[in-house]
Amino acid sequence: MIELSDLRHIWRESGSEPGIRVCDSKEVTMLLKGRSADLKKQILKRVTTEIKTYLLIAVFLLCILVAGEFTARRALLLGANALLVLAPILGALAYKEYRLRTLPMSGSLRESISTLIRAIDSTARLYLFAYVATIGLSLTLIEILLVRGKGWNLFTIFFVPIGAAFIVWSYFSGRRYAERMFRAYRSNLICVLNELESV
Amino acid sequence: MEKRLSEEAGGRFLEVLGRHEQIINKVIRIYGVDSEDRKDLFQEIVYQLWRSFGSFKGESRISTWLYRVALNTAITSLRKTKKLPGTTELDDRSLHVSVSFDTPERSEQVQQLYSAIRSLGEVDRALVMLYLEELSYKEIAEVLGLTEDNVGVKLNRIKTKLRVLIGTN
Repeated sequence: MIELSDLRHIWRESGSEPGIRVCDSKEVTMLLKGRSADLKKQILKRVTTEIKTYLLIAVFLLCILVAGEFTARRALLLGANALLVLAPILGALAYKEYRLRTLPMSGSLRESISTLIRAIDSTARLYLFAYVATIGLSLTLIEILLVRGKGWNLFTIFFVPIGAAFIVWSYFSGRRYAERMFRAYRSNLICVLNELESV
Repeated sequence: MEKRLSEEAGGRFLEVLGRHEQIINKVIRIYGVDSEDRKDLFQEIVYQLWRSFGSFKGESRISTWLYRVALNTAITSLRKTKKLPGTTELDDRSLHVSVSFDTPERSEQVQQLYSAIRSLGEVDRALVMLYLEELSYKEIAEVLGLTEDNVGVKLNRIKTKLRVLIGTN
């Protein structure tokens, strides 16, 4: 049987156990550099995954343009323009991912968790925006080029509601994607917040 | 992205780290799942401490600031989504605290205490740790973002839980 009053004494004694140590500034500098490199790798991995998704959309767009008898040169020019739009989006995503992983932890636990949840939601919104915007932009571009090349006909008119439906679908699938990406982490944080608020 | 350790700041940081590394080790023992996870968490805490070190203005004790950063990092770390999917599944090996105390009973009591604390919720673990570290209710409230009354109520409830878990008087 342990006396409750004895717990502090036992706890203090447990502090004498040799744990992990960092001895000198060289070791700390190496640790910080290693951690910083890990962080860069994690962000690069996330952004690369996104780039793959957008590349798939770009290839799809290119195929449609080439099949629609647009010259390869014109199609490539459009691809380059699309990249110009995508580059800032991907940059913003990388920044959001960086912020998410490096938010200051020096506030109270409640503040830190609330800030993290806000950062997660904002990052998820940006992912959704990037996804819907890319698909929307691609479809609009196809429609404009089709109309310019072939004028308004049954196909180009029919393409408008199909494209709109596809954009709506991309919104829901993008939302599911963003939710899936952060669901486990976000729900962990919500659990802690609920635990903090319970009496 | 990466801050370099200037000689003066680095020296101060190392001094703080050396003086309070027991705190970090206690936090990782309570929140780390296994030895690999503890090592990872230790590095993450040191990294977060360094990132926040420049903004520490001395409004609270340095140890209180250190508890805050270490506990916040342990509780909110992204690594948990990979290794701790919501529940607290304990790895028996990770419960072992290899301390050579005067008596085997004492050693067993330490094991019992850590094992009881690790079976609590994330916030309760932090609360009991801060209580055992003899922080005042005001300091505990400041670290966790609770009111002092709330800290008192929660601690009473945790003490009752601990009595059951450890079989204390």
